[in-house]
Amino acid sequence: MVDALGRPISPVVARIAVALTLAGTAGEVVEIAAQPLDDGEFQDLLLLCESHRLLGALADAVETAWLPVTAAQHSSLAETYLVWLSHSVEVERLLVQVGECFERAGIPMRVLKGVALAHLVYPDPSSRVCADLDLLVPSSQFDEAVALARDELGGEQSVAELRPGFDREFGKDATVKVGRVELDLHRTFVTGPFGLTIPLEDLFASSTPLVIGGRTFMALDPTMMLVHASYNVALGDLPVRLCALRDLMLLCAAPGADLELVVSVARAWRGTAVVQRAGELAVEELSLPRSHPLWRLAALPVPRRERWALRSYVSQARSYSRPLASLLVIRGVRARARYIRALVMPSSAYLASRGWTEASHLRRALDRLRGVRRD
Amino acid sequence: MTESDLSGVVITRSETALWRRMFDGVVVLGPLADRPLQISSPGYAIWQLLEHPTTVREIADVLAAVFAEDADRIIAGVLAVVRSLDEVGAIRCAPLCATA
Repeated sequence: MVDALGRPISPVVARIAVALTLAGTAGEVVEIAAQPLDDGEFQDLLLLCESHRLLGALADAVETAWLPVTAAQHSSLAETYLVWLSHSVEVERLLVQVGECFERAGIPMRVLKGVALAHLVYPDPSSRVCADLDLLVPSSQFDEAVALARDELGGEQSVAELRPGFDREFGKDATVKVGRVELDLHRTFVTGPFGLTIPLEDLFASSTPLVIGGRTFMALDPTMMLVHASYNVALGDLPVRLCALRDLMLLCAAPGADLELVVSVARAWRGTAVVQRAGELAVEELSLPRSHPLWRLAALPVPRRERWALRSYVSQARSYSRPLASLLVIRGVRARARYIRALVMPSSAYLASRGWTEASHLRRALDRLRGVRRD
Repeated sequence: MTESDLSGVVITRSETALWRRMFDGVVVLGPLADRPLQISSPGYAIWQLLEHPTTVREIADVLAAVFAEDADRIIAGVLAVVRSLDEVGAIRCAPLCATA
C-alpha cells in the first residue's frame, strides 16, 4: 500500500487502513488498536484515509473507540473531517440544482457513486465523504446535459472533447466545474472497450429512489450499483482506492445482494473480466477469507478476448492502448472511422485545453505505442 | 429572535436543508447560506430533536434531562443555535396555535 505520493505506508498504518475498509462489512466488531498511534503514524493514517476517501470510516472507528486517539489527534481528524463533510453537502446542493435544471429540460438522470451510496448503502451518510458529483445521463441527451451544466449553471469545462460529438458517441464522461464542485456527467461506466459494450439502456431500465434536500432522485437499482462498484474497483484508480473496495464490500453485504445476477449481467456486457478482476483485487487487497462471496467473482473463468482487452486498462501505455482495444468493439466502418479520426486528428480546442500541439500529441502517442509493442 | 418571540412558535427542520452528522455536532447547509454552518456538541442532538415539530423550551427540557443540567441555563444556548439555523433557512417556524 502506498500513500498519495506513491511512498510505501508502514505495516501498522496499512493494517489499520484495511480494517477500516472492512469495518461493518463482515458483521464482527474488532478493536483495531489497543492504544493511540504515535503522532507521525496517525498523520500518515489521516492522509491515507483522506486520499482513499475513508475519513468517515476513520471517524466512526474513533467515535466507537475501535481506534483510540489522543486529544490532539482527535482535533486533527475533526478539522479534516469537517472540511470533507462541508464539501459533501455542497456536492448535494449542486445535485439539487442540476436536478431542477435537468427536470426542466426533460433529461433523466441517475445519481452514481458517493452521493447515492452515502444515502442508500452506508449506515450513516457521514460515513461516506464525497469529492464530486457523478451523474449518469442518456447518450442521446449527453451534449445537451453538458451544455446546460456550462450555460445554465455557470460551469467550466477545462478539457474540451476530442472532436465535436465524440463524447456522445464514444466517451465515458465530461467534467464540468460548477463553483467549488466538480460535476462528472457520465454516459457509461468506464472508458474504452468495457464501457462501449454496456447496453446503456440497461442502466435506465430500473432505479432506486433517494430523497435529498426535499427532492426525489433516482440512483441505479441494487444489482446495477453492485456491477458499477465492481467496474469501479477493477478499472478505476490504479492502485485501487480503498473506498471503492469498501463500497463493493458493503454492497455485497446488503440484503438481497445477488452476485449470480452480477455475473450474468457482466457476461451479457462482455465484462466478465471486469468483475473477475474486481473480485480478485478485493480478495487480495483485503485478505478475504475463502468463505467470502467475492471469491466467487475472483474464480470466474475469463474469455481470452476479454483478458486481452483488460490489459489495455492496466498496462503502462493504457491511455493509448485502450483506444486500440476500443476499435475492436465499435461496430460499423463509419463509426470506427469517426473514432480513429478523433484520436488521430483531435480538435484544436481539445489540444489547446490540454496545452498540447498536434506535433507533441503525435510524438506522445508514438512513444506510448512503442511501449505497448514492448509489453 | 428572543425566547419570547419563540415561545409561541413550533420549529422543525426544513426538508431543503442538507446536512451531515459530525461526532456530536452537525454540519448544515441551509438554502439561504453560501457556506455550511457547523454546530458543535450538542448540535446533533438539537438537530435530531428538530426532525419533528418542537419548541425551544422542549429542546431545552430534553437536553437538560440528558445532561443533568438546569433547562433555564441551557435555553440561551439552544436559542443561539436555533437563530443560526433560522438565518440560513434550515428550519421552518409555525405558530403554536393556529389563529382564526
